Amino acid sequence: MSNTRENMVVRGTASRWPSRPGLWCFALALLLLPAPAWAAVTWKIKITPAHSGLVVWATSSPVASGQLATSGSISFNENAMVDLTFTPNDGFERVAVYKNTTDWTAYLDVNGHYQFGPVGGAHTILAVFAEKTPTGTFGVSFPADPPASLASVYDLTGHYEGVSPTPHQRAYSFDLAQDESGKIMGLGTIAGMPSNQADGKISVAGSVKTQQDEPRASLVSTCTGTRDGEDASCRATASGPVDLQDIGDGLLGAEGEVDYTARVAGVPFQDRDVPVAIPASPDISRAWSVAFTIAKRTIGSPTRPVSKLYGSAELILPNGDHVQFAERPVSYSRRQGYNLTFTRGQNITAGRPDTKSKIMARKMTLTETGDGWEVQGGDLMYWFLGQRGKGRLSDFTQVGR
Amino acid sequence: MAAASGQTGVRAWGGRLGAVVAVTLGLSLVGLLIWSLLGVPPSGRAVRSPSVRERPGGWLGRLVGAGVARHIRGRAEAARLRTSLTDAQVLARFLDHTTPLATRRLDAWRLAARIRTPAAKAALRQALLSGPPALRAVVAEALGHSDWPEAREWLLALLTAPETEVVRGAIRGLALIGDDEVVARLGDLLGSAAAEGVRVEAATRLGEVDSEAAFDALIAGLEVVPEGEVSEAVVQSLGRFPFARTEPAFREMVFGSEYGVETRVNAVEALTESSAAAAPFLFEVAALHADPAIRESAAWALGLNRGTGEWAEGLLELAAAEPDVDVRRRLYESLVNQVDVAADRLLPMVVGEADPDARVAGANAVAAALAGGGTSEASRQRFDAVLVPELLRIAQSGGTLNMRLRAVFALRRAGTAASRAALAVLAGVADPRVAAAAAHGLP
Repeated sequence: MSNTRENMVVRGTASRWPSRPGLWCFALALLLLPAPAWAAVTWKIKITPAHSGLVVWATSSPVASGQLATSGSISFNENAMVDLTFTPNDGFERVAVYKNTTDWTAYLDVNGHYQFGPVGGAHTILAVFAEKTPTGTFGVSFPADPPASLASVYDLTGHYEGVSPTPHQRAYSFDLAQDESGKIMGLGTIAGMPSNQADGKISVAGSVKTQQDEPRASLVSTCTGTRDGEDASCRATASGPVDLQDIGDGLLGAEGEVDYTARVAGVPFQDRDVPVAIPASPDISRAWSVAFTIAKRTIGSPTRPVSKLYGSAELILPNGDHVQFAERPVSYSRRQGYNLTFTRGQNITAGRPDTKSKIMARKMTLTETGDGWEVQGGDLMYWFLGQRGKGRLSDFTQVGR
Repeated sequence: MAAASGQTGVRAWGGRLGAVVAVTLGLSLVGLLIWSLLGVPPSGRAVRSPSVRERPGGWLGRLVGAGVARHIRGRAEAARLRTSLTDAQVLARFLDHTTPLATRRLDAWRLAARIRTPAAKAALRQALLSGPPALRAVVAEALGHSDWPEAREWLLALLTAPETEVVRGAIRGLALIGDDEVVARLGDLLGSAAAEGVRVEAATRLGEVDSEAAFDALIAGLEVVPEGEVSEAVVQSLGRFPFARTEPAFREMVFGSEYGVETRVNAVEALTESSAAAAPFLFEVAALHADPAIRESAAWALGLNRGTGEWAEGLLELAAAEPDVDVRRRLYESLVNQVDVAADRLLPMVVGEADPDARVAGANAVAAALAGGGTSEASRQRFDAVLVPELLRIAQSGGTLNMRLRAVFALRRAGTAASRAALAVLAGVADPRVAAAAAHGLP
């Protein structure tokens, strides 16, 4: 007969509620068995360096999206699909993306996006960005119509002739040559003046220097000879500003005030602030340009490569000479831009070293354009042909390269 | 007989008088030719310039010289001041704000220096008080040419104007006045906190005031102004004073240990405007200074200083012993301005130069020596055989235009048959600038 206690218990316990042991088994199973489909997964997202980029995310379960501007985390359900897009901030570029220790960079599409999933576990995503370093060639040229604050540098080489604008009009004709130091040599005539030169010319020497942001020429002319049996040797010095202007009748010339002293046959003459307007040689020029080239090179061993920046420059002077400055290490920062100094170049035109020309860019910042970089800000300082100047890079004309 | 001798006497005196007149006119003509190139001086108060003057020999020379200078200055001044306008029209044009500044500037000068009526003074005063900065600067400078006593106070008051341009104009005007008190005020600016442009202007203009006070102000300025553009202007101005007074300062700058290369170069080159007494110092620097950059500047400056001309022997010795090619180049350039250069000694040195710039500079010196005469025929022939072909080649080469023209200059200076033939060839080359320079050397 099965009316045992067990039978009675089974019959007695054949009720609607699970038994206590069953409850414990169920709880244990919940703990041990894999989570059901609605369990949360959390990924850590690290962005380095801080404020260098953005991670845009979207999950399929739950359906959600957002973006992380700094390191953080995202949570979603197991087996969700997770879209991550890694976007650098302005001035930065994407370098690498890691999923835990695995380099995931190559799997990203052209937009820096990858879809992970179905996702099962917790991971750490590391997004590495780096400051963009402008490389390439950036050129500026001296503007045709410069602001008053920008000092001109002139090459006075050329021929000067005219008729003096006085009642006693005398024809003059001079050839001048100016060297890399701004030193001038010349030969010429003034109608009626004697000369000790074989070709009847008067010898001229002098220099051009910058004073108060303005080029100023100083010339000395000498002649020896006699007139009517009397000594008529002369020595005259004159100095004045070099500033091309319209001096009337469609002529470009140097207009300003000159100081002079002269001694003619022992008689001294001198004066200052004499207003003059002398037609300029058509060869006179103040046009020049400079191109800076920055290149990134990888140096060091294959196992320990290091990226370094190198800069070089080419200067085209107002006299047409090309001066090349050799490559040297440079550094860049996003806020400070480039600080570049170039001296002791090689005058390619003359085929000799150039120790007189120097060019410096300070805090040269650049902005990225569609096909490269453009100079945006900073200062430029320049020394050549015996003269100098400084100004903001934004006052110069950008030169496409 | 007596009548005949009397007539002869009269003719003799007439001849002498004619000679004096001819000389005077000749000197006037030459002086005018100088001024015809350089322009016309303004009128107004006496010129104030550094006292680097050389007195003409003899009382007659001084008398004639002063008279000629006054005559020429008066003629030139009249020419510059002459306009087809009446005084009233000049005034009206000056007051017209649409008149270009350059014209208003000249009109301001006319009003201050020549017209000088009460209306002119009032117009200038009004412009000084209420005009735009550029006009105020121009008027301030023009007032320095006037004889109005109050102009001095007006200009002194402008030294504290907020606009640098106006202050600079006031400085230019005050320098024309140039009394000791004014000079002291300008001297105070040198070491002050005023804008650099103001201090440079003060330094520059002090160099144009011929007075002990100006000299002292500049010397004091040298002590307080750090190296830079202001000190550069101070040194340039000191260079215009007689070297006897400035030698201690320049010696310290050039040979002392306090100053950088730029200051030393600037100091040496400032002496191109000093008195002839600076020439021996420049030679000393070119010979002895340890820095070749300084020797180079001194060699160049010696060729321009008013004491140049008699240094041929010394420069040749230096060139023979100088190891730096850039220094030798400037020594050769200085030799162009010397007399009695021994071309026979110079020619082998130049032929032995490997550096093209030094060779061309040396060729110019040799050519100038040949033109000066007293050179052996052998040197002339060697010049024609060795240097002329090279100068011809350089003038046609693709090197710098500066070097090509200097090669042309050497050919022009020499005046030998071969150099003239070379010039004829160059007059037909493709580069119009070289061709023109060569053509200018042909008869």
